[in-house]
Amino acid sequence: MKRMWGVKKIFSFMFLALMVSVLLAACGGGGGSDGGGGGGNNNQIPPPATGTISGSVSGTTVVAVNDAGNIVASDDSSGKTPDAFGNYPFTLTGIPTGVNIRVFLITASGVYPMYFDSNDADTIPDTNVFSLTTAATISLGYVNTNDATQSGKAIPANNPINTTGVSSSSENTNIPVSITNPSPPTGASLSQLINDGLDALNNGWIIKARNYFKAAVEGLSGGENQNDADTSRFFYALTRVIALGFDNYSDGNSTDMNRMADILDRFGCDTSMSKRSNLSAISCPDPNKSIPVPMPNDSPTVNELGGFINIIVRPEIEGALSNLNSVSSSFNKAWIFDGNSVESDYGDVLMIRALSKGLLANIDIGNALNINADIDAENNYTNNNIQQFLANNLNFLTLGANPSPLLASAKTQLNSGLDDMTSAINFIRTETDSQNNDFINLGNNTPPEIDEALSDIADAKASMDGATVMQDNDSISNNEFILDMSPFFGGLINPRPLLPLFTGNTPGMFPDVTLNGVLPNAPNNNVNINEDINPADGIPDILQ
Amino acid sequence: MMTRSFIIKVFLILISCLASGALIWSLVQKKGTLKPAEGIKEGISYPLSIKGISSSSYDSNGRLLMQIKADEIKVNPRRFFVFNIKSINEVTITNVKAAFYFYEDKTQTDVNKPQTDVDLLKLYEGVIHQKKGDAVPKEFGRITRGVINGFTLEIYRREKLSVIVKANEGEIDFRKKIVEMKDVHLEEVLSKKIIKSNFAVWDNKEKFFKIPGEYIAATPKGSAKAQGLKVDLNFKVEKLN
Repeated sequence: MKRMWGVKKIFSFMFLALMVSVLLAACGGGGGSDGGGGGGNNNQIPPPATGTISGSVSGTTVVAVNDAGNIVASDDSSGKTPDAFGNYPFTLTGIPTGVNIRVFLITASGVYPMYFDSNDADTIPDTNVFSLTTAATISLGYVNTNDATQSGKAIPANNPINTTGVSSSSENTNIPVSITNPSPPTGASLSQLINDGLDALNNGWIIKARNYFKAAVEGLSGGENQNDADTSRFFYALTRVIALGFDNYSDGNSTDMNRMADILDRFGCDTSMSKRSNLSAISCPDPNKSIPVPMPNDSPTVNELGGFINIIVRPEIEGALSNLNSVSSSFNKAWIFDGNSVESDYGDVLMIRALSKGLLANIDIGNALNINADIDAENNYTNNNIQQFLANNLNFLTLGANPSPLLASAKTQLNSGLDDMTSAINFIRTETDSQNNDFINLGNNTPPEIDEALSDIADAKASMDGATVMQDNDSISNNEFILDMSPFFGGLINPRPLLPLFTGNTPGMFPDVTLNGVLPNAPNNNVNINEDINPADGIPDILQ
Repeated sequence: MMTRSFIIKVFLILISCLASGALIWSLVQKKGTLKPAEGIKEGISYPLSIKGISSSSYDSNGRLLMQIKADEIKVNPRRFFVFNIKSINEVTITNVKAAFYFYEDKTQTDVNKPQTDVDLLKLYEGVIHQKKGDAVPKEFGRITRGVINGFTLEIYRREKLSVIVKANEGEIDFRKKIVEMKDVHLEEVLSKKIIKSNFAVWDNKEKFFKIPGEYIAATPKGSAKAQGLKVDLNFKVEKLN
């Protein structure tokens, strides 16, 4: 039963690659600076008076932009010492007078425009624009991006218009391209691109990081320092796939499917920039809310989402693999992740390569099966259940028209990915330097635990070629069983008939406990997907 | 009604399970569930580890309103197969016991009102967040989930034990503010009504337990099995659609 008990974990683990990508994407912290300063110049005319904005944040990049969308000042929490509350000070200098200014906080979860009460009377933050009439110094205090009543906005403790020489203007919901898709400055050096890219990555400014690392890779001519070239390739590989999930601003075209933003458009999510700027601001129809809002009838189908994955996502994963394949085994780079010092080396390269190949295998498997469904129809139908869903979609989870080449490709990717994972473990375990700061590490696993993991990977690989005894190194009980994934990867297994019958949402027993030969010795004491003892109720415990 | 999360489960779980699940199964089937990173040994340093923690609050009359105790709360690395990722952590709370007290008066602790004051994430919020609404301190890394090993909730009304909830394990989703619990036992002490289920979800915003699957309801007169139930802390039950 122990193995049945672990099913939820198993399901979760199958999305390890995606999870890790998301977690990487969720990095936040301080760092990064660019954009112009509003400071002086070299001519004979005295520089115009400028103001200063200061405050504290929990860890982020803070930028001030003018009406033209140009960044006039920026600061971040990199290298700063937090105060007693764990917040980091920031100072924006050279704020020009006489022009409209907006302040944005850029964190792991997106862009937060700073809002305040324009009349400082009703305490409702209703605008994000102010201007300085004199060289004022504005003290914002703590600027909060987690105000539950002002979701998606950054709210300062002190209203800027309480400072003499500061006045408010009408709200401007546009977010300039200098924030949504910043380009590196022309002529930037490789080291500048790397340093600013790493700062952006630490801040969670993923699009900027991607753009800078992309420029770094595209500028490589072969004569660079090997580690700089490796660093560029590794971090471009890391950010180019993740960045797809941060490309959320609508282009106004509600029919195309080229970007993540297009998918949000098709699902009827609010298209205004302020509603796409960060995860907490995104608002989409949800038929399951207490006040249901149906999904649009032209929401993407599963096949359309699959098309996006194949046409847009897959090339980026393959590109990332190409970048990683060019990284040398001597690669080593210290950087800041989530505010903490970390070190990346070839072990990370191998592991991320393994995850990338796992993603490609999953895409191939998805392509080999019929998994289409009308998402909006199924969600908007309030009395839907699994039985009804399966009845509506009779081909769901059947084999596609020509599955064999796709499944063979999936097997190749998994084989190669598992080899990379083995190499990653071996590389990391033989490192002689301290592993405390390594980005991907083996934690506190003992040598026997690491050996067990290697053995499990070897067993998994072997199972794709034929019946394999899945060894059990657990000291408590003997849980060995036989697994044979070869019929599946040979295109011989049609998953749909293997599903249990559903009554409403209640499953019955699996019709074939061997899953058409995948578990050839089932049922026995170690593997029985129809085990029904906790409770004995006609529902397989695995589906409880 | 099939919820959207259920649809997602159908898409993701079935596809992935039948496609590559058995393969991955072979890698992880010995690793158990909801366990904090195995292999964490005594003697290593965590970003946070507090043993024997207790938090209480009182009203203006000095009456106990809430008490939460735990044998240990710690921030530890989250394990992915055999790997850790620097700064990707989880909170592990061991043997948490929470008690909330409601009295016969017109304050917010009124016994007759819905128990909106019951906040099962209070211990986490109090320890991990330095200020309400603040981000997690950087030294704690990115906390991706909470793991509870051993959970007891007691509701006292008029200074008498009214409701007990026990669970063997729990997993906290901080973003959704829910706690998924395993092997759950809910009991109304006075009436001796008991509801048992393998799985229940505590909604910390709506303040009720949701049992999406099968449960056993028992009273002194007998017991019955059914599926889908909502239970609040007044032990008011409602069919879960």
